[in-house]
Amino acid sequence: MTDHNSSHKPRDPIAQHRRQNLLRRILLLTGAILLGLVAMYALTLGPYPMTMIDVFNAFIGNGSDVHRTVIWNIRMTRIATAIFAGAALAVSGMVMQNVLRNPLASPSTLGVSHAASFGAAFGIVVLGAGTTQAHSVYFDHPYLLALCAFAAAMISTGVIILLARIRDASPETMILAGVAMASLFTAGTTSLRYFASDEVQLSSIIFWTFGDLGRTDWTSVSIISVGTVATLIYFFLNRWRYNAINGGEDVARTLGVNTNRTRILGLLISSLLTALVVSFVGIIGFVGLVVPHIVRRVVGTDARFLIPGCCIAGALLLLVSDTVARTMLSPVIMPVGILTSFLGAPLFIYLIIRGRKHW
Amino acid sequence: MVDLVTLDDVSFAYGKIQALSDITLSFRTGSLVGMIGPNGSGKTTLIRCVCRLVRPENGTVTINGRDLSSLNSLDLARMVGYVPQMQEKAFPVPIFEAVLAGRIPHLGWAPSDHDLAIVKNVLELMDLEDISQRNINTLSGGQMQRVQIARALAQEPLVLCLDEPTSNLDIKHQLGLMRMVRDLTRKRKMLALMAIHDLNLASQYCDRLVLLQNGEVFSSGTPQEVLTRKNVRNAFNINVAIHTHGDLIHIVPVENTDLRRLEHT
Repeated sequence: MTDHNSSHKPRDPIAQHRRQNLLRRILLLTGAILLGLVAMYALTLGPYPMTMIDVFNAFIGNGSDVHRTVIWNIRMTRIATAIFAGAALAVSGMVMQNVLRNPLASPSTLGVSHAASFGAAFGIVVLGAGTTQAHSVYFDHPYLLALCAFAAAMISTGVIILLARIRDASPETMILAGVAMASLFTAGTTSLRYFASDEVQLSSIIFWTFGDLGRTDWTSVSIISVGTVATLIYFFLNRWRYNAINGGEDVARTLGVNTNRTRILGLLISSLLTALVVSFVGIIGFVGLVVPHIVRRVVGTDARFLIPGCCIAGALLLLVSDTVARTMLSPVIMPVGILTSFLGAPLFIYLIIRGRKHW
Repeated sequence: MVDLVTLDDVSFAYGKIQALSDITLSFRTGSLVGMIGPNGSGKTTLIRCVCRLVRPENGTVTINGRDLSSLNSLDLARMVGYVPQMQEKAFPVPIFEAVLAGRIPHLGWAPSDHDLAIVKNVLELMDLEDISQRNINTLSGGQMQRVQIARALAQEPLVLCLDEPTSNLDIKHQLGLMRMVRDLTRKRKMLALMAIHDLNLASQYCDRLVLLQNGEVFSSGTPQEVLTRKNVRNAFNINVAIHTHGDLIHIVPVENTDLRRLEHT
C-alpha cells in the first residue's frame, strides 16, 4: 500500500499496464534479435573454420563449393532444426503446464517424449523402417517412423487426458503417472534393443534415446517447421482461453471457455508436435519444462507474451546448447540431448524445491 | 417488475445423491439473496446451476427471460459472473491482468481502450488501483476475494454468484465484504446470489434468504420470515435462541440442557 504522503501522485493502473506490456514487447524483440545474431555466429563455428564473410558469401550463393555445402547442407539444417525443435518443445511444455495448471508438466515429465522414442524403435525393429548407410543412420521410411512415434505418443497422452479428467488429480499425481509412463516406455525401448537383429537396428534405436540435431535434411526441417508454425498459430489463437484457465477451472468456464475441449485439444496438439520433433531428432529433455518457467519470470504469465517468449527462448536455449555440444569437444560432436539433460535435471530439482512459492 | 432469474422445477443429482429436487424460485434485480442451510443442503449446487457450472436434469433456469440451456457460453458469460470460494493455484499474474480476464467474453483480438477503462473502474471500486501490479499469489485472503469480485464485475454481469465468499475471512473483512456486495447490487442494478453459512451475517445484509434442506426449499422470504426458531431448529437440527433488536436478528446456538431454561424466559 502507498503511504498517504505519496498518495497525491496517483498511479494510473492503465498506464502501468501499458508500460509493462511495452517492456515485454521490447524484451521479445531483443530476444528475437539475439537469436538471429547467435544463429549467424553459430554458422561460423565448426570443425571447418569459416569467417562471417565466408558465411555471407556462401549464403548468397558465392564462395567455394565446400563453403556452400558446409553452410547450406550441414550447418543451416542443423541450426534451423535447433530453432524449430527448441521453439516446438518449449511451447508444447508451456501449453501442457497451462492447460493442466501444473508447473511440472512437460513433454519429458509426462512421458510423451519417451513414448515417441519407443514408437520409433518399434518402427525400426518390428516394421524395419531404418537402415544404416556409410556410417550414418539413414531411414528408408521416415513417415512410417513418424507415424509410429505419433501413435505411441498418443498412448501416453491418452493416459494423461484420462488423469486430467479426474478433477482432483494433483500435480504430483500427474507427474508420477508421467514417470511411470516414461519408465514403461524406456523398458519397452530397452527390450526392443535387446531383441534387435543387427547393429544397424541397434544404432538406429540408440539414436532416438538421446536427441541429436545433426541428422536432419531440408525435407525433415521443412516438415518440422511447418508443423511448428501451424501449431504456434493454433496456440496463439487460443491465448485468451489459456489466460482464462489460469484463473481456475470454474472461473474459466464462467468466462465462456469450454475448458475440457481446450485442455484435450491443447494436450493432443502439443503431444503431436512433440512426437513430430522426437521422430526426427530424438529425445531432448527438459527444454519443454524449464524454458516456460524462465520465460514466465521475464515476460509474465499472459499467453500473448508467453507463447512468443517461449518460442524465442526455447530456440535460443537449444541453439546455444547444440552449438556448445558440437564445438566443446571438437571434433567430437556430442548429442545435444545429453547436454540439455545435464543442464535440465538440476534446474528441475531447483524448481521443485525453490520454485514452489512462485506457483 | 419482471424477475431477472427464475428456477422452475429444477432438479439435479450427483450420481445417486439428489442435490436439488423440484426447486422453484425467482429473484429480482437490485437485491442480495442469501442461500442458507446445512452442509450438503444444495446451496452451492443451486449457485452452480445459475452459473451453468452444472446443468439441471429437470426443469429450467432463465436469466432475463432467456433459457440457460440454450444460451451459448459467451452470451452466458456476459450475463453471469462467478466468484469461487477460493482462488485455485495459479501461475503468477498481476492483479490488473487477473481482473482483465473478466473481459475475455467481450474481447475481440486484443483488449480495447473501453475494456481497459472498465478494468480501471472496477479496480477503483474494489480499492485495488494502488496495488494493480501486485502479484495475486502474494495477496491476503480478503484482497484475493476483492480481486475475484473485481474480475467478475469486469464481465459486467446482470447476476453475480458468490460461493461462500466469507468463509476464509476474519470478522472485519466478512462485514466489509457483505456491505460491499449489498452496495453493489444497489449501485450497479445487479442481482447477487450468495451461498453463505453464517446466519447472522446473512440476516444482517441479505434482502432475502432461501433456506434449503436436503435439496428442497425449506423456507424463503425476508430474514425475519425465514430465520424463526422453528425453521432453524428443523433445518439444522440444533436449538437456537433468537434475539431481535429492531430489524436486527441475532441467532445464538444453545445446548440442549440450556433449552428448558430458555423455554421459561
